Amino acid sequence: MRKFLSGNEAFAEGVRLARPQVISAYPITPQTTVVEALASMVEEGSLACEYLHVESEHAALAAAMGASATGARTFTATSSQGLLYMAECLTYASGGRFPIVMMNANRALALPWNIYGDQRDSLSLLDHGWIQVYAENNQEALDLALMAYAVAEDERVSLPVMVNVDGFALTHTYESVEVPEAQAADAFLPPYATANRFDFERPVSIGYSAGPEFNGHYQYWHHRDMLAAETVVEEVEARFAATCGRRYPGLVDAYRCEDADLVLVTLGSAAGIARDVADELRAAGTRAGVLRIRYLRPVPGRQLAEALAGVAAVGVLEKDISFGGDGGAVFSTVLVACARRGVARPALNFIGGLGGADISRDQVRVCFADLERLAAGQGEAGRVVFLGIDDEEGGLR
Amino acid sequence: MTDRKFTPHLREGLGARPEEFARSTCFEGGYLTSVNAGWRSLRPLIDPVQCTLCLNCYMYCPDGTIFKVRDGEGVCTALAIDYDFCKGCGVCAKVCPVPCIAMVDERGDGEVAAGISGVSTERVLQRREQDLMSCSPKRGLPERIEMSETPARKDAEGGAA
Repeated sequence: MRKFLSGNEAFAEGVRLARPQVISAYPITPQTTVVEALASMVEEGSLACEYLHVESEHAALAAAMGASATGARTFTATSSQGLLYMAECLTYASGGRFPIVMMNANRALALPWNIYGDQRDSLSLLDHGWIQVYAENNQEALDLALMAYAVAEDERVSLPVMVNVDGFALTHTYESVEVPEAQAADAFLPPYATANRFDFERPVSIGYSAGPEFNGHYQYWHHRDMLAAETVVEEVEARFAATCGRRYPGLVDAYRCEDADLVLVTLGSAAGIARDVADELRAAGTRAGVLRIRYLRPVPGRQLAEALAGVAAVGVLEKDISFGGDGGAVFSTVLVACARRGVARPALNFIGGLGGADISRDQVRVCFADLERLAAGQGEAGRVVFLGIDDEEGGLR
Repeated sequence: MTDRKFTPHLREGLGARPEEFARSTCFEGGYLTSVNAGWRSLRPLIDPVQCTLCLNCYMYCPDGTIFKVRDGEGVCTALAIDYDFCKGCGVCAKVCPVPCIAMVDERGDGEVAAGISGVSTERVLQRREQDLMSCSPKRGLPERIEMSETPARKDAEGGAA
């Protein structure tokens, strides 16, 4: 059924179709309306689920883990400072291999206090052992709510998934969205079944310690299973296409990259305007492309290296900065992914959209123009450029 | 001599391959994690002659490391301490009404820590030797349980308390 929904409302529809048995959440802008919508669904009886009003985000994830440890399908959602407050529990949930799905409404971090969208919250937590995926639009957000459970609960993966939805740009923006029929969603996503749970018939210990002798083995298998998620994502997307009718492209979404000289890598909702500008440049004779990262954990290393191996210059546009580091977390990830596979192309990092600033068409044009100069041998590679702040000076080296 | 079969099994001592146990923190109940006693500086020793089996120490031990030793008919005849998990906190010695639990220095000189127990040094040294023979925390894992062997659960082995 086609509906006109905000990103949060669309996501709530996806969660309802996934039939979680327990939802525990604490409200925070711009996530609030997703949990409000879910609370209404539980109240009106259209979602049979235990809804826990917890006292904090830390409690929200702790409760979700407890529920998951009984074998229940669980959902939580948060944003920004709430995600950071939850951070201690993030490694518990991933190390405990609880396939919780969480929606994170991407929002800036304090200080200065700011409620608007950027991606510094989730990008600062890449190493907490969760699968991280970034939606571009409300349809993808809804579909990811369903697909995330299928990936998380696959025995080869058994890891929690954080679905990132750009704050306000998606969460509070209305789009026309196709909501799958419950029958199709049920055919796609069977009920959760796991051995990683408390069971009166088969008593287990859960969440124990592992000392120096064996601890590394747990981390090794966590890493291996996260890498295995790549195959599972592809299988899940094929199954989603067969049951719900929409096809997704795996860990990355490449647009006009095959013969591109200039490629702009980005993630989330900024990809739309980047593709528009790439089309504009193509019409003017410049071979431009856009590579949208969908999954940042596991890192789409092979896809990045393959797509970027033949380009003259690559830019990474992100709503993040790793203070004192090599630009933003996405830039570092892209460069390392390429370097590990023997690909070294001249690259620039574009930092924009912080604290909810728009990434404008003109800014994306500035990015491509800078890449074009770099491809022509002008300007130094490796610069970190803050859009609208030091782009005229050429950025930081 | 204390009988090890009444003490908990170590999970990693099963000889399982890491991919069989290290993919989640969920494992069949009744097993414990690695030996965890490295920070103990004082070792409690129970004098079995003076012990009245009142079970105060058994109930108060915060780590559940004190267990009942039973004879062939299942009757509790003594209490013993699992030194793989005892942290040496001394609660058992404090709550012992006799008192017959001594706290001895782990560095090996056999001296009874002052003011905790009236048990004779001679008696303590004798007990210490017995305990070291049966419950050394330094015992390596591989020699405990063979790879091919799946040990029966502790409750199937004669009723640990």
